[in-house]
Amino acid sequence: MIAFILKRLAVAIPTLLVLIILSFILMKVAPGSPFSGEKAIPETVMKNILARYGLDKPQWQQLLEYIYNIIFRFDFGPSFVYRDRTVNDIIAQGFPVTVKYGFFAFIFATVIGVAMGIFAAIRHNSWGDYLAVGFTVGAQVVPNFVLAPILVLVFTLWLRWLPGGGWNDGQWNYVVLPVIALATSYVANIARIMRSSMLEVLHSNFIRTARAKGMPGWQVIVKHALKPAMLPVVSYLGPVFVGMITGSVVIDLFFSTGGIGQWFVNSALGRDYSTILGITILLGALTIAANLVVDILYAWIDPKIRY
Amino acid sequence: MLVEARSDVVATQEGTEAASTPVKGRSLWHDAGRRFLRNRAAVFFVGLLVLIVLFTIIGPYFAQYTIEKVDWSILGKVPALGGPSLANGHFFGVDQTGRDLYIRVIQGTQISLVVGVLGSAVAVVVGTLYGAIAGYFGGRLDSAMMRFVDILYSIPYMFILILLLIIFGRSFSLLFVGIGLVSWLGMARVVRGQTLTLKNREFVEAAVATGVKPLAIVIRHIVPNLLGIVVVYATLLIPEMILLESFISFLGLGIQEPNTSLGALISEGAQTMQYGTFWQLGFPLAFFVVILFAFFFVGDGLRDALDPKDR
Amino acid sequence: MSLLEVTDLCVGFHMPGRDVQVVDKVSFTLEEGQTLAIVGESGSGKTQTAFSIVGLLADNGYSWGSVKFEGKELIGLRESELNKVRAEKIAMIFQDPMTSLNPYIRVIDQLAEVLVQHKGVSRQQAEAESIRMLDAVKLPDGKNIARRFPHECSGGMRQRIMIAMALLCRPKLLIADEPTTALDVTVQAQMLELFKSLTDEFGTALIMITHDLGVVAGLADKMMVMYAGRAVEKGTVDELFYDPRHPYTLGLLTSTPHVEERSRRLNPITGSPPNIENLPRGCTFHPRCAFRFERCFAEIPAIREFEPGRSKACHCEGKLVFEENVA
Repeated sequence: MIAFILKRLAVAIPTLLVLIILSFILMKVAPGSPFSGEKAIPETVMKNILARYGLDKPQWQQLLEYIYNIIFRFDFGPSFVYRDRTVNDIIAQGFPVTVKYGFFAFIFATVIGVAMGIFAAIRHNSWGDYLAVGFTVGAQVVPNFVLAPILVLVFTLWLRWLPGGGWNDGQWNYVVLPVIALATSYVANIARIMRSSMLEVLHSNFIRTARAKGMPGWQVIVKHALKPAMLPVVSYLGPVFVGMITGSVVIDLFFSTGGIGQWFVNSALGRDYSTILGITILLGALTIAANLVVDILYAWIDPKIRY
Repeated sequence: MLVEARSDVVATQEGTEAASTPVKGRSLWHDAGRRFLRNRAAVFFVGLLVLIVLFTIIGPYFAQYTIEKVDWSILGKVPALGGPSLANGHFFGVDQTGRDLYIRVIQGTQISLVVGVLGSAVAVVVGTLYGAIAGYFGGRLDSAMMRFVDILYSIPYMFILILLLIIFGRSFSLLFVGIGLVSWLGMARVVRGQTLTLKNREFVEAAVATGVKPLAIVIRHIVPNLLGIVVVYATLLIPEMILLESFISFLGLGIQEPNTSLGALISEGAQTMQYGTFWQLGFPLAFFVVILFAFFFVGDGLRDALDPKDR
Repeated sequence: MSLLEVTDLCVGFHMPGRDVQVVDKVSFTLEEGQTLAIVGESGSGKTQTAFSIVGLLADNGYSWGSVKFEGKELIGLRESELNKVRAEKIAMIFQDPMTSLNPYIRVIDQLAEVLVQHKGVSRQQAEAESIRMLDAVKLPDGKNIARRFPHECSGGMRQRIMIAMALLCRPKLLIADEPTTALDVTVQAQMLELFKSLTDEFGTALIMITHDLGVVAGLADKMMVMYAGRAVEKGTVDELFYDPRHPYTLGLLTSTPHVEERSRRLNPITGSPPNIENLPRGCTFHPRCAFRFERCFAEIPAIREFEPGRSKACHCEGKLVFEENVA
């Protein structure tokens, strides 16, 4: 198992480096310096500015220093736009927000999705099954930026139950709508995957054996069918994670939660390159870590994978 | 794995059918066509797609306005006067700035369909060739190529795409090339798996034995046999492309004004919904949903037709 | 009272837009400790007959008729009641040992849960008993094998594990569905030996479903031949082997190679089994039958007892003699 984890790490670390270098190069080839928008700056001042941000050094040295600072000091450098802040400050401000509702959305999507999928599979071809399938098909085609305003319309403007935006230090009623808006399409996808894999497992020979052993129905499901049926869901958790990170951009923008996605878009539009770079790398690292965890989880569940 | 198992099922199914009806030989495609036509939902949605495409071609001739023309008589009174109306020629109403939604929805539908199909096409071409080459040549080349795919898979490509659009400026061609290029990974994996099983089939061995060059084998013998799975995958990729484009449009990085796409229209409509102008969301969303449904169902139908496992 | 009394058992399946009946009025009895072989081609309904005894049909399957086990009716029993019979009283072994064990659970856990479920013993007792049973089915080093996952065992080992699992509760009846078909020929012989010795040792009655007459000869007391969902001939193994009275039974026997009779020509049955959804009129076997006459085209022969303990479903009377020179 340890060897397997090391092997996976051996892929993950170069991936992260590729990501850093790739984004760094993209930033460098981008036309227009972050300071070009300002009024004509005297050459000496410009020089000072460049020196302050380390931009006067050769490119390769900038890259190496950048990588070194990230890895050993977890320092993404200063923001190019907000003069009094570092990228770290921005991340520290936005990231906890995103993590909070993202975590709940992830748990919500997994638990509800799996439960719904199992229910639909056990009640195959019943009204409950059709209802679940209808929901999964419907939720697939409604993007979260449509769902979010609809939720606000219903729960904020009509029913007046929940606030339609803001964060308020993550008080529960401010978290509910972002979580639902972010999680719904993944509830649907997980339920769909779970349902079809559970149906397939329930038709397999070893489930017939378990029934022939006189095991009660719920034990057949929990002890014999759940683990194999979960495998496709587990391998889908990586994409869910990526999708939720991407989706958080929409959620942050729409609900003004002040999460990392909002900072990403703002700094992208404001050409705050160091912030974009920092956020991209942070989220990329998270994605890579999440995929690593999923791989390990999968190997742990499936005994047929030899590490 | 899944794919391999599937192809086996196809093979045996063919075998038994040939055995029981020795007189009339039927091709896999002929059979698949018959099965597809029996799938009512899929046929219905194919019909619907054709109607939508026809509508985007014929519809503009009935439009009373152009996409950029602002109707000054309505501007400022949109919630009250801007609704769908046959009388003033705004069949789908107007948008927040008084432009005719009918023609804008038509253009949005065209753009979304084009982005979906072209993006999917880029993914198909790149993914198929990449996967077929990796799978056919195998060995070290294969593991290197697939490792590369693994690495790209774990990069949050959406952010890279956003970066690209910001850095190089918004442009239609970059948009669909970008979308296509980040979406070929799944295709490459599927195709590689299928190629691995194909390359041990007799007809490939026969080609090798008669001295056909490797690249020619890939293009002439492997790729045509991948067609079934590629068609299914490509059909299912189109709605994903359309969703991706709509996401980009929501961020304001998609197609540029005054041009529009369904994603852009929906995102505008969603933001103005609270003023009671539901038609601004309703019409583009209806087209969007129907198109996505249609491609999902057609893709599903194709998969069932080409994979007789569940018959 | 017989151990098992099956009367007019029928099995049907709901298919999209239609219902298909695959077993039609099959009846037989089995005494304690006896072995019955059910023989037939694939698709003859022999497996569905066996599955319906303990209610293991697929979701869209349903059965009617009567299955009395120790005098108790099993058809229509609630699932929770059936669970008390399964494994405890009637155990099953399936055709494909490769897929019949759960690949995600260690062998020992799959065995022990049967005892915990039915005998209410502690986990430790169940594991100890399971390992004893693994030894009893002649697995070398049962303790070691118990800790493995199924995919770490060979096909023969897995089938032995299946047998051990089936015998854990010392059931009165064991139903084995083609238990040797998926195995190597050399392993098959060992497996049959094992069946014989274990059923003798535990006094278990056995229903052996097979298409292999070689299996029947060495193992069974009684035999039932099935064709297209119906029983066509029943009797003792000796009677059917040396004096078959149904043309299909005769066909099966003459199409099987014998080691002793090297010189004899094989007489394969011509044609192929009928489509169960589109059976021929009259006797379902008539298109392939060498003995058919007018009556066979129109009238379905009912199964009837023509000698004490022997019955067949055929319009022909008396012994069958194959006229080889006809062809």
